[in-house]
Parts: sequence; structure tokens; C-alpha cells
Amino acid sequence: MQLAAVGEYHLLYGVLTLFLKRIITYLCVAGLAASLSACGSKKGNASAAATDAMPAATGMVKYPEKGEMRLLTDRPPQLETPLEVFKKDITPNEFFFVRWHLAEIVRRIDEDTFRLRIGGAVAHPLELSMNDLRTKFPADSMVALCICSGNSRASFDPKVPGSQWGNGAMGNAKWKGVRVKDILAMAGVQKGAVDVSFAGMDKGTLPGVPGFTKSLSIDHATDGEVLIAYEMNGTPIPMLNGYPLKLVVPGWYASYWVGALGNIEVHKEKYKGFWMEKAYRIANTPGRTERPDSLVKETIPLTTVQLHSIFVSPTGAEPLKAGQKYTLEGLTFNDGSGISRVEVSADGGKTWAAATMDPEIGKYSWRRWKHEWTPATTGSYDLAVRATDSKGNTQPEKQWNRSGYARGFIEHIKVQAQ
Amino acid sequence: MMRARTYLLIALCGLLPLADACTRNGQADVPAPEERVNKTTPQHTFSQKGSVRQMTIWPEEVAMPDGPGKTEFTSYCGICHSLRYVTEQPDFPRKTWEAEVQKMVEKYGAPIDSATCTKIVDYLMTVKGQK
Repeated sequence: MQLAAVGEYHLLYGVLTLFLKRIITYLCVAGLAASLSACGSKKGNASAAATDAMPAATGMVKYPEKGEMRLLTDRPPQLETPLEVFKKDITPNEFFFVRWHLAEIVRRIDEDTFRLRIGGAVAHPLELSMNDLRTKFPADSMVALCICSGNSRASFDPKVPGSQWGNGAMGNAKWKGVRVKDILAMAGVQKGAVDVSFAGMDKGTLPGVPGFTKSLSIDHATDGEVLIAYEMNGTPIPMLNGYPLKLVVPGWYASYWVGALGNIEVHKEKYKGFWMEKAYRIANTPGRTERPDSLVKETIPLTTVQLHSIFVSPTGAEPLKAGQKYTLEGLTFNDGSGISRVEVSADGGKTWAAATMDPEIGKYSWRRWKHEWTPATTGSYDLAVRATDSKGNTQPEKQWNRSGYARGFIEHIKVQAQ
Repeated sequence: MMRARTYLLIALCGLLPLADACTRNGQADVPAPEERVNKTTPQHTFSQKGSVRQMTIWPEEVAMPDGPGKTEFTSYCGICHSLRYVTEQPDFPRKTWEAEVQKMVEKYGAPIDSATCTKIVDYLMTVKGQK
């Protein structure tokens, strides 16, 4: 029975996938049917089902246009980049992390008929084709880090609910597209406009689930840096990363980088959508930290990327040799305001040595640091890395918040020398 | 129940050729769902034909352990998201799981009454509760 139920679920889901555009109204029925299938099967050969159609809870998968990545969830898809990929300055598209919020992601796009709609408080509402975007506006490009608000959540102590990301919910890419400033200039922003909202085309399965929409102030949206990207590392954006268009908000967390962007609206009043007012909010405290036993009452939308630095090599998984010289290596980043130094400790933070930084790739790119180090004797070492920004702020040893957002506390890794 | 599911399935399968015609332009790059059943590793697909890009992602759902409230958990939570959201979580105290379920109801509009919420929390405590 279990096997049959699983088969039916797959079959049902597959049929519905093919019907994508026509079955929106059937989705609740399908979801319920699938759930009923799953829960209606209590007897039968469970072991056959377990090996047949059900992979391990956490494993590596290969999704469309993607290499082998760590699966967090399949509906909606969430895929984490393996750490070794971060040895490259630019994260290849096929390994770029994937994070959607709503189960019905966009699975089919006809580039000839797709239109980006711009409306609200504008003089001329627009419907722009991909060809319009490529030919009617100057192209702009930049290398920028796209990092999930919940990157490194698994390291928060005490642990917090949410996708248990390691350090792989981020990536550095070259984005090419059109400035929002130029698009809004063509549309003609009306006087009194304060906010601009950006909506994805993905949908939830229940009508009560709010569509994914984020907003920026009109000044931020038109600062000339916010882009609507149609290319990522020189090719169209992978579907799982937001094809055909993805908003690029350099220096801000990836929740603002709306994928499968379909709609832009200019508002004369502060935009108060679900994903601004209820989700992706953080304690309004310095360092974005609070105590588990006294949560901060006032929360604000989580916006700029927190100062942070990580190890890429070594990983701590393999023992090192005492007396041998190693190049410790990692990445550092913040909101684009600049990093003045990176330091490494081999004694858990008692003493620090300056690491060297590679030349800056771009204002909003991550930056690689390196440091040569020789474990003098055999034994266990507590390696740590910390960055200091251009204003003199250094990463703290401790930080915690209820959602596991904006990690900025110092990373430690344990290595063994033999 | 079994009979109703089977009819729904047969009805949807009957519409497959139509799906073929309207979404795939007759191309054979997407395997028929029948071929996917009982395969060990699901193979997701991607195609780019002319101006159309499309992909198919098969579910990779997990087998959940038995326990009181499993029916409610799989039925309601699975409407909107993968059950994997739970299998990858650390163990949490009951108040954390209560807050999570409440969040789904109050923020995301999940249609779950309070008695059912309690059963779901019971199940979450069985599989991912802090002892």
C-alpha cells in the first residue's frame, strides 16, 4: 500500500506539473489527495517503499541546470552550495544556491510572450518584453554577493527553527541587466511616490498564502545600483535561480533579490506587504542580537549584509600534518562599505595574526583572504577568523537572534594535526 | 478512499495527451510519468526549445516515522511544503513547535483548528522534540 501510495503521489504530481498553467485551481485538491495518499497507508511493505522512492532525508541531488548540491527541501526547492565551490571567486551558475518560499515555483517560461509589468503610481504603465529590456535600455553589470538571510543558521546556539543552512546559502556572481532607475524613468514616477514593490511569479498552494513581494524605498530603487538582471555569469539565469529576471539589490540580503520577477509597482504610501511586515524581520539592536530569554519587542526588516568571514580551507574534516605549512583561506564580506582587515587565530581567539586579502573584485563582491600557517606540534587547534570593516567595527564572538538571521559572530573550526 | 484516488488519477492521466499538446509541443524530452514510478532515483528534467524553457521537478519526499498525530501532520503540513522541513530540524522544546505551528496558521493562513494543531505538535514532539 505504501508503495502504491507513493507511486500515485509521484504520478499525480507529475501530471499536475505538466499542466502547470491550467491546474492552479486543482492544486489544493492535488495537495490534499497526495497528503491523504501518504497518510492512508499504514500497512504493507514499508521497506520496499523506503528504498524505492524515498531518498535519505538529507543528501545530494542534481536538479535541473544544477550540479550535485545538498537538498534541504524539495517543495519548494532549497539547495545548498558545497563549500569547496567557494574556492572559486565566481560561483558557477550550476552550483549557485537555491531558495524559494512558495511551493508553486515557475517551471515554464516562454521568453517571447513573457512581459515584465510596471504599474502603480507611474505616468505610463509598461509591459516590457525580454527584447525590450535588452535593446531599449543601457546594460549594466556588476559582481555582487547574493547571500541568504539565514545563511549559517545551523551554527546558532541555541538552535533556531528554519532551514538549517551551513555556509552554502550564498554565492558571488556577475549580474547583467537593466537599472531599475532607467525603467522607472521610462514609466515616469508620479510625485509623492515613496516605495517600489517587486513581485515574483511563484505562488503558494493555498489562496491565503501571500505572494512573494519585497519593497525598497523609491530613493533606494532608483539609486542606479539596483538592477533587474537577465544574465548571470554571462548566460541566462537558471530557472531555479529566478529565470527570466532577478532583482539585484547589492549589499542587501537575498530576500530582496526577488527571482522570477514579474511585477513592479510604485506606491505613494509605505508598502506593507506580508514579506515586509511579518517575515524577514530582525531585532532592532546593534549587531542584530538578542537574548533567548528576553526577546526584543521591536523588530525591523532585515536589510543590509552583516560583516562576516568564513573558512573555505581547511574544513576540519581531514587531519593536518604537524610541521607542514598550510595556506588557510576563506571569504569575507559585508554590505559593500568595505573591509579594512582580516585576522586569523590558531589558539581560539587569544592571539590574532593579520591575513592578506586578495584585490577587491567589486564593491559588492565577497573578498578572499589567505594566511600561511604551520601547526607546530601535534594536537588539536581552534582556528578562528574575524574581519574589521572600514569604520573599525570588528566581528563579535557572540550573537544570537530568534530567526538565525545575519550571522556575524566569529567562526571557529577545530583541526587536528598529526 | 482508494477508489476515489484511483479515479482521480485515471482522470488526470486521460488528460495527458492534452498536456503534451499544450505544454510540450510534442517534444519527447520529458519522460512520461508512468516511466517515473518506482524508479530509485527521480530524474528531473530541463528543456529549452525555441523561446520556451521548462523543467520538471519530481518530489523527493521522506518516509516519516509512525506516531500519534502523523495523519494530521502529513495531511495539513504537506499541503504547502515538503515534510523535509521537519526532518532537517534540530530537536526543539514544545513551545518552539507550538510557535511554529501557530505561525503557519496565523501568518500563512493554514486552515488548521486548534485541536488539530495540538495533535500536530504532539507528532512534532515525537519526531523532533527536545527530551
